[in-house]
Amino acid sequence: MSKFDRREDSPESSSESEEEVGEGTLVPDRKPERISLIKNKDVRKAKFAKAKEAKTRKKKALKKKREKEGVEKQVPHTIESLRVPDETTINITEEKQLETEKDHELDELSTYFSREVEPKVLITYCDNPHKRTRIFGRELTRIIPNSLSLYRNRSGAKKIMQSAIKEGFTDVIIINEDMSKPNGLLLTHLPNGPTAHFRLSNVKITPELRRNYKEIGNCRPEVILNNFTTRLGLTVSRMLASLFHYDPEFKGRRAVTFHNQRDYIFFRHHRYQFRNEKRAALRELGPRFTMKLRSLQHGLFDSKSGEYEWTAEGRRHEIETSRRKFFL
Amino acid sequence: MSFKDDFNIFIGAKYGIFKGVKATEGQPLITKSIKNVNFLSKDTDVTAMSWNDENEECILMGLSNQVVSTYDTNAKYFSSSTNIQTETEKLGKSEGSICGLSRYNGALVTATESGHISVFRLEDDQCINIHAGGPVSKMRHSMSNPSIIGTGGLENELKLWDLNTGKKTFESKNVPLDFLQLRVKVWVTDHVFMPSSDNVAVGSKYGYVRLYDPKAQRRPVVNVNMPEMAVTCIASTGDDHTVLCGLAKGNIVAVDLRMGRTAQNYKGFVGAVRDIACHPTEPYIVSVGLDRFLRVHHKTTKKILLKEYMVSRMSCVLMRSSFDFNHKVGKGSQNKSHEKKAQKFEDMFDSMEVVIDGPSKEKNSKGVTEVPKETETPPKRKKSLIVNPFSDKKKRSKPLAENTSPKTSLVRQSANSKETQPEDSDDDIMILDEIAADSQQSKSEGDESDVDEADGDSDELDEENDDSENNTEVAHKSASRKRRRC
Repeated sequence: MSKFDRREDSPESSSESEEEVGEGTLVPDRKPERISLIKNKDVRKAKFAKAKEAKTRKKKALKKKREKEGVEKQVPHTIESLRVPDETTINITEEKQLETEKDHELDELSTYFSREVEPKVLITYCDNPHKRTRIFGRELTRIIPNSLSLYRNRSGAKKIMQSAIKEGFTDVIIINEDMSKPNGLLLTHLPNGPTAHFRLSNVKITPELRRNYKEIGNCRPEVILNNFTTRLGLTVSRMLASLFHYDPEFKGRRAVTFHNQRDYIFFRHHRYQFRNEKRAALRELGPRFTMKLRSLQHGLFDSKSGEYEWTAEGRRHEIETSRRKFFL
Repeated sequence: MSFKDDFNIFIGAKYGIFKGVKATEGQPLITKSIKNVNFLSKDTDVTAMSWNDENEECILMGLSNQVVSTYDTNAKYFSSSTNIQTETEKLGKSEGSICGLSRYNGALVTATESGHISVFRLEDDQCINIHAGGPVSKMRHSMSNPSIIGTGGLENELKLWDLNTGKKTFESKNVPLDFLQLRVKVWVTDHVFMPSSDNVAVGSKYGYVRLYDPKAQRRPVVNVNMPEMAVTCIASTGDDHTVLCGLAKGNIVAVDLRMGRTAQNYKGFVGAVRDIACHPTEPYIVSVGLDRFLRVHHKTTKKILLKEYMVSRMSCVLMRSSFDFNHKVGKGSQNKSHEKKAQKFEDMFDSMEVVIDGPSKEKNSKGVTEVPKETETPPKRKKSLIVNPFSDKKKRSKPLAENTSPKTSLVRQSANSKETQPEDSDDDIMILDEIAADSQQSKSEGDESDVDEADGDSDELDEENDDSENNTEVAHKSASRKRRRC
C-alpha cells in the first residue's frame, strides 16, 4: 500500500491508479518515476543532473529560436518599473518644465550652479562621537573637497549654522550616532537653506571594507546622481551635488555616486580605470552608506517652528499609499 | 460679468509667480501662469494679495521688494505697479517684504515686515505713517469695521489701529507668567478678525491660538495651547467660534474657540501650509503651501476635493466669493424646491397647537408652568426638532438680518443641510410626519436619542449663539454639558 501511496502524490499519478488502489489490484505502474523518490543517492544524483541538463538544453534552444525569429526581449516587472506615477515628475509638460527651470535659476541653490560661490563644507558630529562616527566624518572630508571636520563642543545646531555663515561655509553636515553607529545626517545649505534630514544606515568605513583611507586621493571627484525624478528628488540631488566642487579633476579618476533606488540613496565611492574602449575597471574606495530622506525644511534648521517643504513624520500611513509609491 | 467666469482662484508664489486657476468639479482644471515666467526675479516673491474692490475686479499684489502691482482681471493685464518704500525721519526706512495689503476708502494700506504701516492717498498731506513697534508678520482688516487694522509679529503683541486717526485703539497683553514664573514667548504669525464681532483670533509659531476681545480686556479671553503645532496662517470659517490654522508641518486644524480645543484636522499635506482661503458660505477650504500643491478640502466631510501640482512654492491664495467647486446648472431649482418644502413644514408647525395632557388643559403661559413633570416630554421633543433648519423660524431670522441678500442665506442653509446631512434631514421629516399624525403618542427612546445625536452639535451651537458669546464661562459650561452627554 505504501508504494501506491507514494505514487499518488507524484504528478503522473492518474485517476486510474486511484481506482486500482480502491479495488486492491496490485499492478505497479513503472512508467515515469519521480527522481526524488529514488532511494539510491548516486542514481538519484545522476538522473537529476541528466534531467536538468535536458531542461536547460531545451530552454536554450527555445531562446535561440526566439532570437532567430526576432522576438523582442521581455522586460521583467519590478517594483520600480511598476512605480505609481508621480504628478511632480519632471518633464511632464513643457510649461511646467519651463517653470521648473526658472525655479532652479532662482532658488537657494542657484548660486552654486551659476558658479558664483565655491562650496566649502563643515562636517561636525553629535556630542561625544564614538570612534566609528569620527572616522566616518573624517573620511567624508577626504571625499568632499574643501571640507573641514570639527568637533561640536556642545554647541547648538542653530549656533553652528550662524557661525558657519560668518566663516563663509556653504554647507554644514551634522552626523548623528546611536549605539556608536552613525544613524542620522543633517545637511544644510547656507545661508538660507534648505535643510535636509537623512536617516543613515549600513555605514561601512574604509577599514570595514578592507581598504585604506590613504587610497583616497586629493583630486576633486566626479559626482554621479542617479535616478532622481520627482521635484523633491531633484531638490535633494541638487543639494547633494552642491557639496562638491563643480569642476571635477579627471586626473584623479575618482567618482562619487548617489544612486536613488526606491527612495533609498546609496552612496558609493570608486576609482575607475579604462581597460579598453569598452570596459572600465572599478575599485571601491569606501566609505559606503545608505541614506533615506526624512524631511526637507525650508530655510535653516529649526525643528520647532521651521516650515517644512516635505516631511513624512507622523503621516507615513497617510502618504505611503502603495508599496510602489516613491517620493524621490 | 464674463471676467468672473474666467479664473476663480488666484495664487501668488515665490519669485513673483502669479497664477490663475479655474477649478470646477468634473471638469479639467485650468491653470495658467498670468505673469510671464521670463520676468521673474529673486526679490519679487509674492508675499501679500488682496482684492482691490468689492467687485473683485482688480487684485493687489505685494512683493518682497516693497512693490505693489495691480492686476486687472477684467482687462487681463498688470495695470500699475508702485514702490511703497517710505522713509521718514521719525520712523526710519521701511524694510522687508510687504506682509499686509488692502484698499480702504480709496487709500492703499500697506504693512512691511519692519513694522511700518502706511496709508497712501492721492494727497500727500493725508497720508498716514505708523510704526507698529516691532516686526510685523501680518496686517489684516477688521471685517465688521474696515477702518480698524490689526498687526502683530515676533515679540510684538497684537495691536489694533484706527486708520482714520492713525491712533492705536487696542494693545493686547501677554498671558501671565507660566508655572516656573517665566515669561511666555510671543510670536504673532497671523491673526484674523471674527466676521461679526470685534474679536481677533491670533495664531503663533510657538503653538497657541488666542482670542482677544478688545472690548473686554487686554489679555486673551480664550487661550488654546497646541504644543508642537506651529501655526503659519489662520483663517476664519465664516462663523464666530471656529478658526482654521495652517501648520508649519502641514495639515490644517480647525480650532473651536468655545470649547478651547482643536476640532477638525484636514489632512493630505506633506509640507507647510502658507495660506488658507475659506469660503464664508460654501463649504470649501482652499490652501496653498510649500509642498507645491493646491488643495481644496470640503469643510464638513474633510475630504480632499482637489489636489493639483503647481510647480512653485506658493505663499498666497485668493478666492473669488463666487467660487463654487460643485457648480451645476440645475442646482438653483433644486434649492427652490427644498425651500418650498421647508416653508410648508414651517407653516404646519406654526399652525399646530401645543398639546398638553394632564389635569389642566389651558393653553396659556400659566398652563405650561403648571404642567407636571411627566407630561413635559412633547414640548421638549419639539424643541429638539426646532434645530432642524427647515422648521427653525426664530434662528433663521438672525442670519437674514446679517446678510445683505436674504435669498442667498436661504439658499445657503438649505444647500448646507442638503449636502452635509442628507440622512439626518430625512430622519427629521419622518419624525415630523409622525408627530403630525399623532403628536401625543410618546415615541420610543431610541428614536429620540437618534434625533439628539444627529442634531446634538448644531443644537448646542444655536443655543450658545443666543447666549452672550465669547464668554469663557459659557465655553466651560458647554464643555461640561458635552461631557455629560457622552
